[in-house]
Amino acid sequence: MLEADVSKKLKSFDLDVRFEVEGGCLGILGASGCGKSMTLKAVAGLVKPDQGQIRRDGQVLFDSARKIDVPPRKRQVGYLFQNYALFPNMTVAENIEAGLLKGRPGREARKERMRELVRQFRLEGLENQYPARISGGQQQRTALARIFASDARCILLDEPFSAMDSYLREEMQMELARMIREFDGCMVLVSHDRDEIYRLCSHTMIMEKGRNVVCGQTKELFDQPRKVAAARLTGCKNISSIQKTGDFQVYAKDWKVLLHTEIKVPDAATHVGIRAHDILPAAAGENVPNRIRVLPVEQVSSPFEWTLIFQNREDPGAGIWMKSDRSQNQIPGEVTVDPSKILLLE
Amino acid sequence: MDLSPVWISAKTASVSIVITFFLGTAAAFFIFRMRHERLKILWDAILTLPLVLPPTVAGFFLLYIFGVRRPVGAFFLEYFGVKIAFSWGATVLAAVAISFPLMYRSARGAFEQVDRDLLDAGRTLGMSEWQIFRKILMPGAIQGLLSGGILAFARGLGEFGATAMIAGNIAGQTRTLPLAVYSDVSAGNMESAGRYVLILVLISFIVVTGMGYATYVFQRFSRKENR
Repeated sequence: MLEADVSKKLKSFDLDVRFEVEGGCLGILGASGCGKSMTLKAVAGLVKPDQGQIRRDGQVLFDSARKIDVPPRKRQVGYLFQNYALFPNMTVAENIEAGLLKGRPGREARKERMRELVRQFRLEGLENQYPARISGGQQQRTALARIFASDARCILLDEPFSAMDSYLREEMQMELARMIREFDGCMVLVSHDRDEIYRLCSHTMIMEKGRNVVCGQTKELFDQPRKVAAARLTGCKNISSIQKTGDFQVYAKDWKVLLHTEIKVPDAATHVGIRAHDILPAAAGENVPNRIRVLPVEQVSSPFEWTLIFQNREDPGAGIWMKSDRSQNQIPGEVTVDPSKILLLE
Repeated sequence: MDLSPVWISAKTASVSIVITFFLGTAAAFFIFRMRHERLKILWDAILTLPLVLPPTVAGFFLLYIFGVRRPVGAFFLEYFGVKIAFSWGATVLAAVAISFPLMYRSARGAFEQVDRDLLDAGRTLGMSEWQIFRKILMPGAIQGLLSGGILAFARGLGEFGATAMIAGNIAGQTRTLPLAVYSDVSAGNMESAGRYVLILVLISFIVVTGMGYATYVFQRFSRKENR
């Protein structure tokens, strides 16, 4: 259990976030430089917030009002750095033992625990290798073993896959997912990659310019992002400002398109979003709602995906993105959007 | 040929490098850990000053502090019976004062190029600040510390101006190699001066080549590790 409510003045914006993690993994999704890493560093005690409280399992780690600031080495909060920060002058075994120095256990007890962790993290045979000579996956396992060695009750993961190629990344995400299931403390994963968050985190918090925009269950949040920033960060390509024209009808000002919605349009809604994959070709004559005649602007093919940018042919406005798998690569005459797929945003 | 300048220089350079190495490293660590940015700049300037000032100015300050009639010098003379100015100790004092900034700056650069995440990782893993210093910071900075030490050694060996000011040029006592060269040239003994010059050039050459070679070996070693 981790509870944080911190604020700190930064150069370009003010950090002001609060969140709670019951168990499992909380994902913090945000663009680069939105204060995600700073938030983690505050929890770990590497950066001192100006104000607020941080508590782990009921223990106060930081409280500005009561002038409590537990040093990082006593917080039992593990931190997985972006590049793992393995000590280059130490072998894998020594790196793991570095997490066992606290409380001065005997040399034998330390070796014993180290061997246990080496087995648990499948690092057998690499004990005497230096970090620079082992693979990225092995480095990640060493870094995690080292955090487990330090008896962390809570693990913070700072963009752990950002420096990897896509093949390795998926493999390591799988491995991390397995480890998250086994770990009984709580975790916080920070990333700018929505796929990563979706795969690994039960709950997600979306951050923009130092503030949390929305917070909720990951699946729910991706289905119904509610906020413009959330929609954008969860990968919604098409966002337009709107004018409400009826209880179930809005006019998307940017695209110059009239859209019908399934749910009643709330007064607070200022934007709509449509995911690029939710735009489907409409067969001629078929009676479907939200038909748009296509004026193609550009199309791009990638190995498994086909992207079309088009405008409304009747009244050309801003470009709308449509994505589908590669089997569909004919520019359709008309497209349709299911009313339930229209995201109403504030 | 009078060999006493060779021994005096050898003694002075080796004693002063030990002092300079520890003082410079400690000062660099102190500044490295300092949080207050402006104070840091101020301290950095003060500690670097002896490098950019003419050695005679540094010597002037040393005389001003350690001269027999100055407070510190008088204190040493009175309570310990030690005369600092114009004794062999003063050659060490001058060499330390002049070579210190080189050591300090190299050490600070070496500390600063150590990845901060490594230090933070040590903290979150429960290591004490002393363990972090010993096991992470020092090993990460050792190459820079060593090359700084070698530079400081060479500088201490060649020290002339401040030594002349505070230690004088007493044959057999404070006459180091650079001073011997000067004395011989002013007395017209070009041949004898040439021999001292040769010794100085030789030692400096060996030291600097040694440094280059050490860097080369280090790099090859770490490249092996990185592959």
